Amino acid sequence: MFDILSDEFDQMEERSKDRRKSIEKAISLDEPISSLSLGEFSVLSQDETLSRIIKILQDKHLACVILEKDDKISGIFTERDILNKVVGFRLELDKEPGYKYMTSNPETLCMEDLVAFALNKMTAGGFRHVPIVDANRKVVAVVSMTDIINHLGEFYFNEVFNLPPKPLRRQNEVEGA
Amino acid sequence: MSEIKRKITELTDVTIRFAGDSGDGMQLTGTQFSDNTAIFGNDLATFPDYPAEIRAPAGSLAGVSSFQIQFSKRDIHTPGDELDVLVAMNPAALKVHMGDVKVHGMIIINDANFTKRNLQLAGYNSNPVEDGTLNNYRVINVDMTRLVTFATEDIDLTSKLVARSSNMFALGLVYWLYGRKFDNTVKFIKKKFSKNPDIAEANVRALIAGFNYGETLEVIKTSYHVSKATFEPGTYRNIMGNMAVAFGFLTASQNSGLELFYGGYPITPASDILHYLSSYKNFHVKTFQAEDEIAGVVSAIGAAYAGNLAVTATSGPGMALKTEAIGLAVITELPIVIVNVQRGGPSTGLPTKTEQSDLLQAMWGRHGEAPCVVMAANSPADCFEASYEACRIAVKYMIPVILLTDGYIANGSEPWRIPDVNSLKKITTTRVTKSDGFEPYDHSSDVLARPWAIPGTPGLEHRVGGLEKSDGSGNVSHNPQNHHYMVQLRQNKVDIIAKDIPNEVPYGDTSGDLLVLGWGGTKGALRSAVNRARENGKSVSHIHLRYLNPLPNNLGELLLKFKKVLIPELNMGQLATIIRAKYLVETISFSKLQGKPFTTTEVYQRIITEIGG
Amino acid sequence: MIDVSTQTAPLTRKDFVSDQEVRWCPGCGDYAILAQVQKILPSLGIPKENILFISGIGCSSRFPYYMNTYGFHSIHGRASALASGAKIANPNLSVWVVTGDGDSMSIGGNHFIHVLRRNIDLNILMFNNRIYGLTKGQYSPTSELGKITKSTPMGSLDYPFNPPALALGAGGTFIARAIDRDQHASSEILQRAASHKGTSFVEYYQNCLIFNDGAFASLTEKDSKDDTVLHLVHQQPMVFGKENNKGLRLVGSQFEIIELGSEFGINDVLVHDENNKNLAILLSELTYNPVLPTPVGIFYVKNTSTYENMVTEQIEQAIKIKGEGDLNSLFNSGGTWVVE
Repeated sequence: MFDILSDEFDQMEERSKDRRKSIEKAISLDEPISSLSLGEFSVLSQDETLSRIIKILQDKHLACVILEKDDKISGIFTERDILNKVVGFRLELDKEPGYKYMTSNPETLCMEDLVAFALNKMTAGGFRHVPIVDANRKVVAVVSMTDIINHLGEFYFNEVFNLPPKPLRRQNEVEGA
Repeated sequence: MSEIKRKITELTDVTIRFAGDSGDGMQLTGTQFSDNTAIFGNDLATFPDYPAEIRAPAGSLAGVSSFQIQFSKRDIHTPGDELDVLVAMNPAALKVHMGDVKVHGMIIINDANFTKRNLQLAGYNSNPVEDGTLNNYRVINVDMTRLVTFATEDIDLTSKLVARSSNMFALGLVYWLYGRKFDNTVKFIKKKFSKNPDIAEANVRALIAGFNYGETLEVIKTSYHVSKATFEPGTYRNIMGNMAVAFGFLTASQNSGLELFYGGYPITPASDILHYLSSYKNFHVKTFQAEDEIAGVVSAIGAAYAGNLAVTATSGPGMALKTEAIGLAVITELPIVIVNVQRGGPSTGLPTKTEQSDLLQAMWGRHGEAPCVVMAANSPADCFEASYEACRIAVKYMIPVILLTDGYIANGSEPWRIPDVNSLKKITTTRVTKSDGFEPYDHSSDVLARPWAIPGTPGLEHRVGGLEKSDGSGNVSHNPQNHHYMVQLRQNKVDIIAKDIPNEVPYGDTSGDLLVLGWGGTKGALRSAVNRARENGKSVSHIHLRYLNPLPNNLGELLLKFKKVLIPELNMGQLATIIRAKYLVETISFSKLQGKPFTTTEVYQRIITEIGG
Repeated sequence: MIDVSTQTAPLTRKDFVSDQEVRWCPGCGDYAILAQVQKILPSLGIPKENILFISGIGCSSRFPYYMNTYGFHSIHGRASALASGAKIANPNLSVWVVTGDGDSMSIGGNHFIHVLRRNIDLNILMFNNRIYGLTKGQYSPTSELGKITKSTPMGSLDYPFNPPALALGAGGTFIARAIDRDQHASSEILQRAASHKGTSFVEYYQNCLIFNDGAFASLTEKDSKDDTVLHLVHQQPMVFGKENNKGLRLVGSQFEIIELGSEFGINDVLVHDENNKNLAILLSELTYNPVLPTPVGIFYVKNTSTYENMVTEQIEQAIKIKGEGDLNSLFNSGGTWVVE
């Protein structure tokens, strides 16, 4: 029973190991935000027209833009804002400025702040994007919910990426594909 | 606690199947029970049925792993047809195996795993334990995991580790059911987990908890007793077919004084032979995992030319690849043994299921007239004698030997009486050291074997090869008469071996209404069926062939003494084709191609159909 | 290498000539190679009975019949595998594999790369005539692109293998090229190949005058060969040319031809190092180069353990750890029970 028994034993060992890698490690709760790899972001003047802002969102496939005044962050304009404040309101998009429709003075964090705080803003505060600023309130990065999800996915690669196309549900036949 | 009235029922034979998810440890459980049974003294036969997947998802139907054992106080030959007891550790196991349990049979369930998700995964709309599906069976429904958790409360283990030892609970319960002591398993657990005393302790406690559960539970009113069987005196061990093949080769190597060379390629279900032989380096065994099947057999041919006892093992697809090379071994008249552990075909077929459909390939699968000796082993323990004999014939007659086994006997196990290796048939060779009168293709010996002149021996330099050779000198020859002569000679080489093999003695009578003729791993089922028929007064006998080429000398005359000849085979009638071609007798084929062995019942019923109730 | 003390009289070329009539076409390059092999074998100090020639199928593979040694004419492409088995079975044998470009690079490709990878101590002589001779003229894996043959009337569409590059890629530890007509260089190469402990691969450029005559003409004709052939000699500068006035140098990873004279001296010429694998790889890429000379000689040598030696060592180690195998102990291991 050379291989059958040792193979079965290996399987039992694998199943009984606590394979849940600590969730803390996964989303780096204790690590600073600078340890995450973050995507592109865009900064525009708050006086920019809505049509220009929307074009930037479309061209660069972004979900939000940072609006600034005097080189400091003044607001954030997201897809949500388009849905809630623009669509159906019959605005003249090339005349309306961004500052009228942005969320002013959004909550921000710094690069040295812990990732836990970014999550906190998202879960407790309900934000999907958190701008990261330097000492002079200039935006240096934006943390989005997607970034956190991607980070998790990479950490749990085998469990999240290496899956069959359909989950195992009800089976009636022993032999599959 | 009131006194529970218990009776102990005496049984002749019992068939149990342990089934669960591959992570539930059913092979381990089954193996332990069968070792225990052997030590107790019953005769037994086992059949492990493990999943084809490397890792199947937990709870899936494809991931069900089972182990079946039949044990008895008399001589038994098969792992049993219908189940007396099914241990189903999860819904998938129940779904897959329920159908084999006999009416009013016992089903032992681990309730802990019958969760909504597992039930759904197995395709159940409701819990079969509760909805009446199991009304015809005696169900013992236990939350094994919970009981094991109680028993191991004070040990610091994760719940997963505790749940893992549920299989020991089931084992303990079955031990109690059949009145067994479990010291061997406790010893095994302590050794297996010697580096982890906590886990060892948990497993032992689970085992005892299961045993005690049987003791104290009122639901089980009867336990059973199966007396010891009578065995020939000697020392016994359980052995699996593939291991027996490896032992046979090793013994042939030792007895002949020839070093063993194994060239092969991993293939299910033959790889274990490579693994076993690789672990015998201290016996001077050389194993060569070649780059492909062809290199496997060709390297063996090279080793045979260089004077080793050369063997290889494969399954159907590998045999197909090796055919050209086997032809080379035939025409160069070199001794090699090729084991084919047959599996479901054609092409990739059913790698983990058994079949015996490569007989005609073994007989006639090479181009040109290229006869080989063809033999078949008929049970796990018989693989030892068959592989030893295959080596003996190969080197005595300077001829390739194809030994057919199958997935069923390769992985099944049964008790094997450890032989005295000195009492086995002596192995002789045509090895030559003197150059006087040496001719490489000299066939004047009475075994028609050319001399085995091994490189490194002075004065015997000669060339062999695939081109037709002149008899005697061994020079390349295109001479027409020589070719005709050599083709017949190579056939004669096989035919004369018939003098070296025993005449067939039918089991039963030498004449009668029906002869059941079989070969290979079906022996157990055929023998049991014939026994049953004879017990019912039928005039039935059984011949089980070990040698397919050449066939035993007296087979022809024996066939004529029976009114009918029934040939049950796990193929479309391959032996039947051979018998009809050679003896011009009518045969009746009974074919089963389900990737499963014959059951005694179905063979018995066919026998009755043929000769009347 | 076996000790010679068991020999009574020293071997000569005649000892290796078999009584079989040699049936290659008149003018075939194989004759020259046969003569070379028969000439050097006596000088190797190996007892004749320890020599084994194994071949596959092809004109090349008739070779064993003409050698008065142990020989095995096996099946197409499988000689290396058979030789591996024989050598592992008896490591004392001097095993030679004679094969062709079709036999070893087409059907035998798989066994070729694996025997090189394993470094089994045997000598592979590959007669590369860039054609299938025995089956009368189809193109082979070493035929040039566009070759017109019976099976490729409009020209072959295959890019050819580069044998030394393939051998190096497979991990070969001795790689050399010889030319059938160049007796002197061949003799040295065969000696070195035989004494090398490991798989020695010698690619012979061999002329098939019936089906591919002149394939290597530029390397063998008197007026061209000095400029087209570069003889590799370990630790010697790579010079060639009629007056040995041309040399190779490396500029980055590219070879350049320099003329020795006022601008370049002998010290500017690249010195061959047969232990430098990177250099060997670069040299192997010159196989089909139309401008640079074709290297002939020993490209690369590496001394490392052979497969069969490691097999022997493992067995010795197993015996050391477990003691000599005893069948009874083995059978009785695992649970046994006794029936009285």
